[in-house]
Amino acid sequence: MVKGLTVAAGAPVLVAVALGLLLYLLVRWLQSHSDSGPALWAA
Amino acid sequence: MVRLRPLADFARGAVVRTAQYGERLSAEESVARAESMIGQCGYDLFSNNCEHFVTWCVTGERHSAQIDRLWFGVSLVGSTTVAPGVGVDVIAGVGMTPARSAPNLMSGLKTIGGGSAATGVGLVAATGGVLGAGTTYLVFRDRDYLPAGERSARRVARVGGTVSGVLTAGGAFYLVGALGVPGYSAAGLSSGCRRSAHRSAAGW
Repeated sequence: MVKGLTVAAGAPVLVAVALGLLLYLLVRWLQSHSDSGPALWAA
Repeated sequence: MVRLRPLADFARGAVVRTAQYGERLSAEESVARAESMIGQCGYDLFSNNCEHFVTWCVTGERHSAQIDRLWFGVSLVGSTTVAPGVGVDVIAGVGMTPARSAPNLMSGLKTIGGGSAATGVGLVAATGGVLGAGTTYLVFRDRDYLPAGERSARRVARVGGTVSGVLTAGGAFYLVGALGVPGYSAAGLSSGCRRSAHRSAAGW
């Protein structure tokens, strides 16, 4: 029962953070493939 | 120490990328800010690193995305490993006997649930959802000086994290009631908690 409660409390945290991060990375990846990308300076 | 050096000396043959900003100070003001700090010391990895210095020169706010990512990792590990264990201890602590036995946890759940163990389970799951959503909001918080693309990606992350936190909290509450003896009785909740732990351990 301890493990069950731990899962009940931990799963929402893990899913929320993981999905937030995944969506962020997905949007940034889509943006990088639709723009010309960041400007570069040759040093 | 802040020093003025030629770009080529700084880069040492490497390619230098330029960061994009949204709302920012003028180039003249940014340069003036940087020059005003020449000779200053006080480097601190967590509160005054090179990225803090640059964002202060360009935007007027000290901020480091690298340190944000570090706290993101720490909060992710902490909120998924330490926090649930502390929560269970709290539940056990408000129960009738100081042990992690099922009867005691049921007693603790009833206490925090105002007489209903099902409400207690719901509060546990909701706390997880709030922690997850809060972490997402904190890590992906909006800043005026970020580029438009970064700001929109952060907005999507905040909304997605919040919605998934709420849905998963509801799902966890439902599963605890549905997996064991059907319903939110004492027998249903305790057997549902046990089965959800077994299924989680099995990797579904």
